[in-house]
Amino acid sequence: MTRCALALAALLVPGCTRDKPKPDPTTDGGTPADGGTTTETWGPGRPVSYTCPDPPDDAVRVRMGTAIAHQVFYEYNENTWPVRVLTPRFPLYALKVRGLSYTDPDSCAALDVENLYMLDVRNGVKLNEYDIELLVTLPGTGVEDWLGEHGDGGGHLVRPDRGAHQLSFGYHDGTTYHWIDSLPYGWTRSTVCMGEITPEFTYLTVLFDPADGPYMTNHRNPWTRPLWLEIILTATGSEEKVDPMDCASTASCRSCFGTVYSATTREDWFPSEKTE
Amino acid sequence: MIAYLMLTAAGATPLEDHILDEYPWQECSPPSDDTWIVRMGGRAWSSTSISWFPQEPEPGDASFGFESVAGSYPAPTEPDDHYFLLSSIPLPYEAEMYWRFRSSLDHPSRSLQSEFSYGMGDEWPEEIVVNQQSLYHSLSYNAEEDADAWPWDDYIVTFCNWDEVAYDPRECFVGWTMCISHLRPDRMVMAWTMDATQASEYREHLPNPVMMVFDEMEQYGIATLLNFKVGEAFTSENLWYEVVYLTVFGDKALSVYYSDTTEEEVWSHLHSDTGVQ
Repeated sequence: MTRCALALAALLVPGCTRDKPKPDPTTDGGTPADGGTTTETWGPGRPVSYTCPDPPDDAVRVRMGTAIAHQVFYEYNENTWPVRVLTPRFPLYALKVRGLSYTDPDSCAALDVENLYMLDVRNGVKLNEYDIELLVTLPGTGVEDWLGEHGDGGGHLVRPDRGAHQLSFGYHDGTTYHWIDSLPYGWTRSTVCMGEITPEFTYLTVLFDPADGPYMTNHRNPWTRPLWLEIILTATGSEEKVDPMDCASTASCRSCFGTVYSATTREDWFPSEKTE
Repeated sequence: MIAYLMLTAAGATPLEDHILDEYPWQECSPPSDDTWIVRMGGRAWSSTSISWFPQEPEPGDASFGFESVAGSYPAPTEPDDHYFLLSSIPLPYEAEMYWRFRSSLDHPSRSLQSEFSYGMGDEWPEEIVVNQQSLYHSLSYNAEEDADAWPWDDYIVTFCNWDEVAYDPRECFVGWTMCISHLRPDRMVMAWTMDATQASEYREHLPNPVMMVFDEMEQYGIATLLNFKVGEAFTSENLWYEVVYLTVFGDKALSVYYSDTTEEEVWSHLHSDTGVQ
């Protein structure tokens, strides 16, 4: 199964070829604070395999500053069926991200415990910043299947025929906290664009569209503009000279990010690395 | 295996992106302008169980059983926290519900895929026999008032009927709409809206209707990081983790049981609907 095949099934029209490296879209973060050099290997500016589209002009643009993320590469093991199945019945990539639109001085690891990462936003300590939660599943047998743009699939995660995702985000405007969720049944629309997927670095964007409402424009939580979210995930411990437990001393500690291989190994998904 | 046939058949015909598959589904009534909407099922301890019984039950027999406990927030990755409760560690602007009911309908795999509601003055829907329902929430959390002293008891909603004898419905009546949009061998998609605005006990903290959206699937994947402890896991020496059976992803668990019936019998209409054999 290729990503293009998936796209045809979904009647989406993404580009179906690998694209030129993505230009550096950023002006902050990603540069080791104490190193003084640009991050050629990790972080913003690193060339990615698929160039995600720019956001609409009217979009609210958010970059995740502190992220807690896990990606899982699932391979179905036929021998486990019909015994209790602990993996999907088809190869699947899954990503779970929680985080903030700013770099929190506390460690992302510490913020993970008991979901404390979002308290400053929800308590109004951080105004007009965002707490974000995203779940993504993409069927396919390899990275080539997953790169590119994917609709929300109705939020029906773990679909065998196409990608799906669920997005939640919220912000405090100084008066109250507002939360917005992607919805099923086509009530909202959103697109995830996977620019890069590797164990060490994963790059994606999300464009959330409140569609035609009024479902996301209720009295308490109105949201009428597109939201464009950029997520840069760097494997924990991979950022040079950055201690993930000491985020206060650097602006570059942006993610706690781990990778799991279910019923497989790293080499099964990234065979080209065997020769490196 | 019917589930497998259904899943593989789903990609045969191009579908609009948000459409799950080519089988019939119930389009739910959209939420009102003032409805608060919450996605459910993200909690690590989240669990939904469905039990199927004979499709042509004797009078009074159950044909369908449903029990679900679900929260709206994603699980932290600390394994030791799998058993925490919202009531003990309240998170702002979240919800947690318990909903247990059964039905005695013939062929509930078809007939329950519908929308049911109960409002003031309505007869209780005969299709739904409720054993228990409750909601914990912090949707009207106020940081100034609640951050230090959490009056959690004020945020618990239980239900009574409008014609209740033992309770005053003006205090505890909660109207609800349950829309089961998709019933599948391995998935249940549901929107449960409750309206407590007529209940004096609850409307202060729940002044708007709440729609809780569920998308529970059996085909979840469980994987986690070994020794995932703050201060230990996030080190370069332990960058690649061994998989063990705790949860990192796949915290939307649906368990399905067949009692005195079979998967083939329950889902026989999926053959006739599509020609899948």
